[in-house]
Amino acid sequence: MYRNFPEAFFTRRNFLKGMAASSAILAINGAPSLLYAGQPKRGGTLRVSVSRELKTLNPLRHVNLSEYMQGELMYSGLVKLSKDLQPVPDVAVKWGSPDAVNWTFELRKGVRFQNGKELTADDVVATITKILDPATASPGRKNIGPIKEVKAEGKYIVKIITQYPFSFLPQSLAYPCMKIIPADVLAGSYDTLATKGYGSGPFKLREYVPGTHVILERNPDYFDGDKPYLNEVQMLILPDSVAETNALLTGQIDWVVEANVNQLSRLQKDANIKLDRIGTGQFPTINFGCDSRPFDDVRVRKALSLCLDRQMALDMCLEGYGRIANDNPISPEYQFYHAIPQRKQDLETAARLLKEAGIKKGTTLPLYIAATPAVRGKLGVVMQQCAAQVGVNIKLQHVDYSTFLDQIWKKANFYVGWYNMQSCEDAMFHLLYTSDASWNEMRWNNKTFDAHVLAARQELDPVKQRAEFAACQQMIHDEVPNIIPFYNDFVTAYRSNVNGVVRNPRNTFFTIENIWMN
Amino acid sequence: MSRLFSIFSTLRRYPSAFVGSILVSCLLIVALLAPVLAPHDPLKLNPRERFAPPSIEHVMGTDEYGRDVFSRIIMGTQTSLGVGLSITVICAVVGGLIGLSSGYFGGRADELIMRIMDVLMAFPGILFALLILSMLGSSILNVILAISVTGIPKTARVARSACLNIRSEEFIEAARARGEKTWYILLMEILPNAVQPIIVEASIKVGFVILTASSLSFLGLGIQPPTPDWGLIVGDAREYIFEAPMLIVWPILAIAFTTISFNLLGDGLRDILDPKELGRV
Repeated sequence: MYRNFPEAFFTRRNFLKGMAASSAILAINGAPSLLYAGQPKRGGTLRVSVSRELKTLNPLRHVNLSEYMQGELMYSGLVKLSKDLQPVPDVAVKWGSPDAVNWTFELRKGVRFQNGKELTADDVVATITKILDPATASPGRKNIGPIKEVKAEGKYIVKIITQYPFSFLPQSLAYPCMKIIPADVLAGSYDTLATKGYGSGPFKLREYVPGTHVILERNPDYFDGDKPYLNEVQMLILPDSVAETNALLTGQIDWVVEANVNQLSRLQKDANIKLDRIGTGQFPTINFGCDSRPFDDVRVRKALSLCLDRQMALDMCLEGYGRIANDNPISPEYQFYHAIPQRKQDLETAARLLKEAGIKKGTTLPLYIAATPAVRGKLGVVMQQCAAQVGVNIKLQHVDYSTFLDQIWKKANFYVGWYNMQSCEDAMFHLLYTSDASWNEMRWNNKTFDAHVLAARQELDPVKQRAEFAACQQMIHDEVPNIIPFYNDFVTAYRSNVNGVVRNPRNTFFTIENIWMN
Repeated sequence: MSRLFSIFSTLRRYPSAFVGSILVSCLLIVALLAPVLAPHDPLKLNPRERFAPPSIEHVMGTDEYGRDVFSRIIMGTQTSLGVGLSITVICAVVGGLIGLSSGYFGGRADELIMRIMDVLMAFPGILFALLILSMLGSSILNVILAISVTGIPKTARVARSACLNIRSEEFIEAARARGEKTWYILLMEILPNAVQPIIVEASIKVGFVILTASSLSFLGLGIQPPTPDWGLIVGDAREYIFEAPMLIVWPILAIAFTTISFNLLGDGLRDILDPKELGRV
């Protein structure tokens, strides 16, 4: 119904093979060539709206999109992920390892923090040590890789030793919490990070009003050539998507990062507004607590998955802005995606499986749903109606987001989840599916699966690695620890005088330093 | 029959009561017959008919799930009236008893009860209800409980002041002198003479309560989807306000209509039950 703007280009990873590709090359490859018809111009203010509130400015504690964006504006990391999910240089210009255990990262020379001090290997070591310290409670602790030891060799070389061969270390170090902070700030005034900025990023903090806005100004000492082009970036927090759309239409803001697909028809009518759409590996789920009745029975999980009409769910939840998924958390964007024949709605088999599992008609199951994003609620309604067709009575229980995080998330045994794409297959499995996963919400605890993941992450031969990861995906598909009905598309909307907007499917990089205004 | 006729002739002299009682009767009939009146299953998803405009098949069109809006509005009458009336009855009974006994006993007990009521009243009603709901979880029963708790203090105050007026009347003293039990004095002597303000307060409250319950559902903390509920329909339709503006208009009309109906009836009852007017009934 709203398909009359160019389909996103699902171009893939073949762009950037070389590890030492400069970020200038990234910019050219990463955006439609049309945008680069003119030369980037210096100056201007970008007003960008985000829907979620920032709880802290401290990048080590960041958890949501608004915070990731602010972290990227004010700080630099070692490595970034390109839109093809390849690691590309940030402060580190070169990296490598002979055995995937002993890693060397070479830093850019002459990078300065905003207090004038030079960024050196000591700062990187201090930052990684701080993230790994359980007392910091950084979400990065389990996500930046199985790091055993980190040390500085001279001013510009960082050595990292992993617990076992781990070929995904560069991708893992692109985790958004991994932002380099001056060693003396970490040691002396760590608490001030929540409200102040000390990074070496493209912009400096000017003003932060919690719940309202963050204003940042150009960092003239930024290490990357002419960048950033903008004089000022205003991040405005607009939780109401209708208000956000209106603000874009009336020119009060320049860029809506996450455009609501229900309001695209209004945006399409305006010639001054551009829309970009990309496919991503972000998805909602229906999570089962695999350690408790009745979801400990794989037949019950499979039956519920089989009764879902995925096309209907996609249309009603996202107006078709997504792709049908196959209960596989790995989308085609990932390097080791494994195609499995699509699971389709099959009410007969579902009813038979439920009967075999001893589930009586009219069994009531409460399904918990957080209020935001609204897709969760819609998926709940569709699931409820689909399950009713095989005699399962799903009772929807809506809770507000903070109650959800407090009481339901990781605790309940039947709820709607929502996950970003991860940097690689390994990161996804270690976030959700292995017995020692950071969240392990489904409590699937499957030893065979754990063994496959461990084998895959240690394997250096890409062919064998692909086979191991394929086995992992097949197991998840067969055992259904959670239902994954579809992958979301990202739609971003901006005024036509904004150039160089690139949405990264990983949803943690925004590369605002490449943006310029006409 | 003659009694019905006398009620009717009384109502005719009070236009707001007359109109209000007719509208409320209509609502009650719709609520009772809702499953018969609704032309479609209000829960059935229909992917091929999403956002359909009004037609003979779908009088008010269909919503984002292709469900028939007219059927949902009709079924919503049950939820709204059910919640509204049960809360009002709870408030009138519990608040009435608290107020009457507080007024009758007087002294320290009165002080204690009324200060507790004052504390409860000091909270803004909807915030207090939100607090209770986020502690207990969202369900119809908890909505009823939450709004009742916020509504009881007002009824208690009304009942108490009515009780204070007649507490020292001679017939009460007579009853005491006869050695009647306290509950007998409260229920058989005081209540019949203090019931009018409680009834008026209750009838005005219904509209307000329905509005509060709808607000809670709108915020996602009241009735749970997919139950057809007007507040919930408004909340869901908000996202489509420019695509399908009528989706939000229908439930709002229903809420406004119901609130106005009950307020008219309440106003009318207040006039009719006014002691100065009572002689004429």
